[in-house]
Amino acid sequence: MHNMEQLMAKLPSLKYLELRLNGDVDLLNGQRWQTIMSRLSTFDFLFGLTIDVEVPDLDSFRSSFWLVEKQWFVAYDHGFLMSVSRFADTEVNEKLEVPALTTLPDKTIFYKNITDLILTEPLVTENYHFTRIQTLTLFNYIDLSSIERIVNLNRIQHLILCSKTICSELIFLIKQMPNLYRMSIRHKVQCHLQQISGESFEKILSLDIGNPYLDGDSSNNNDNYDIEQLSIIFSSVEHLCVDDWCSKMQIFHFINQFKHLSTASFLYSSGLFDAQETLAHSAEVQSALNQNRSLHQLDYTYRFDRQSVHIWL
Amino acid sequence: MVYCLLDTLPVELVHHLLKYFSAYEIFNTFSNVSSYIDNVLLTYSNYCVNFKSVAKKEFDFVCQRIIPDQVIQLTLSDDECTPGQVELFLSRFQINQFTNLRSLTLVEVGSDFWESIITKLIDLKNLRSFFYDSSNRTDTCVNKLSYDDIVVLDKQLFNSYSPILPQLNRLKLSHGDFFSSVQFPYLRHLILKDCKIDILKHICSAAPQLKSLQIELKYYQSCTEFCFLFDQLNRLVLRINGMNPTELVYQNIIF
Repeated sequence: MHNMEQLMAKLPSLKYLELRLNGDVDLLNGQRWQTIMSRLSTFDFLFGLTIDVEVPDLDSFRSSFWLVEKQWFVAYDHGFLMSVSRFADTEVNEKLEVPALTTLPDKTIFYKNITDLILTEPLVTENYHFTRIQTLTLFNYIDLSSIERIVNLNRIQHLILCSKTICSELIFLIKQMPNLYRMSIRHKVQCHLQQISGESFEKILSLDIGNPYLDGDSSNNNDNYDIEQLSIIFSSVEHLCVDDWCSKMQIFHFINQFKHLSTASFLYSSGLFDAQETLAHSAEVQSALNQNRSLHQLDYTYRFDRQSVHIWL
Repeated sequence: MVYCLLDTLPVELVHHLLKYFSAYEIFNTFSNVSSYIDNVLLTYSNYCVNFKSVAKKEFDFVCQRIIPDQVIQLTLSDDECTPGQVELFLSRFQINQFTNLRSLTLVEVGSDFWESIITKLIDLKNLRSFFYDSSNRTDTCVNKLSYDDIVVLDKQLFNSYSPILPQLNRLKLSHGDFFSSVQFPYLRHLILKDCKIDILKHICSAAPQLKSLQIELKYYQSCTEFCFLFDQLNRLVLRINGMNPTELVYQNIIF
């Protein structure tokens, strides 16, 4: 704390300050902050406290200076003291773990900040309706009415399906989200495809397929999804990211089937191969890309990074 | 013959309007409207080109139309949305053709291209802002160079670009390891991803006009005492990455 006082003494013109550092427990002193920070218009911080205080006293942060004059609300969570507006988590799962200790009047302000919601089972405890969710991740099948009860579907832009079980109301779910433009299908791609076959989701501009983090479950390797069917359902995709290992054939199949691609990324490395095999495969892909480009007089460019090849079409 | 109302506007007014548009928008919207406007576009010299996350067609279109000495702002990106862009760009242009460039931003540009870009910066006499954006100092690309080679290259290139540093108002780099020999009389905004304490001390005397500073310090075991006086500083974003949350040694730094 003493260091902070000295710091502020050397910065006489300061108006906006953001600090992220680890510090002593004496940083939990709202009054001392008040004396040195009164001329700031913005003060955001994330302090990792060196000693985890069980139940810290946030009363010194509840004076009228903090709550009324500056409206700088703080919260304490897992050893971190933070400014709510800047550093509070925007992601939450159905357990709804928000910082219990805070100078905010109630928890709803935390909920208002949530933009990412992860559901593995239906929410039963709270009756809160999240209105600003932009990314919804579903780990298991959850019935549509349960989802609608807790989330405002209008704002959702990105839907991530990790479910190993099939969501039979998937078509309805997608149609109920007018602003959805990005989808990620992480598991059981072929099964999901069967659920939505015959449909056409032209609003989806960005598509991610597959899961780079193979969890030992080899079912992903046997997930032979129909690329053509994918391209018919998601015909307008401009950004494609395939996080499953792709053969040379598959890469070109994707590029040829999706007619509106602007960027495409494919995984060329895999946990199943050793370094030499991976290198050989990347060289194979590279020469195929070059060959294809000169053969058909195309002008795409590409770049390899450690795991994937990225193509700009 | 179609009479175009825009023809009644004096050139200065059209220039004023064009300031609100990016280069792509100007070429796309204002071309072939009338011969008067076409002429104005030819003489306009404040084009702002931003190639971050653009479609390839847009990139090709703008590259065909721009005249380098009429560009004042340029952003190049080799990230996952536009892989291979920088190589393609450099096959068409050299950076020192952009003689009136005031602001250059490089996003995820790998070390393979550093030399061809950085060594030419010294010719850009009007450059006032340089941002180098990279997620990882050693770069996520598969480089032809090893990490050690990159470190050596970084140091060598410093001699190429250090002469332009004093003329800058705004600067963003991954680190400021070689700054101790440089003065920054006009610098107002500085962002360094990784800053050493002695460099920070140097900056507080070398950059007297500094208004905004954003840095990350790695805390070290050895405690160096220094003074951290920035009397013009208006905005500070400071992150100190402690080696271990239970280490209190940083207390010995006297700010």
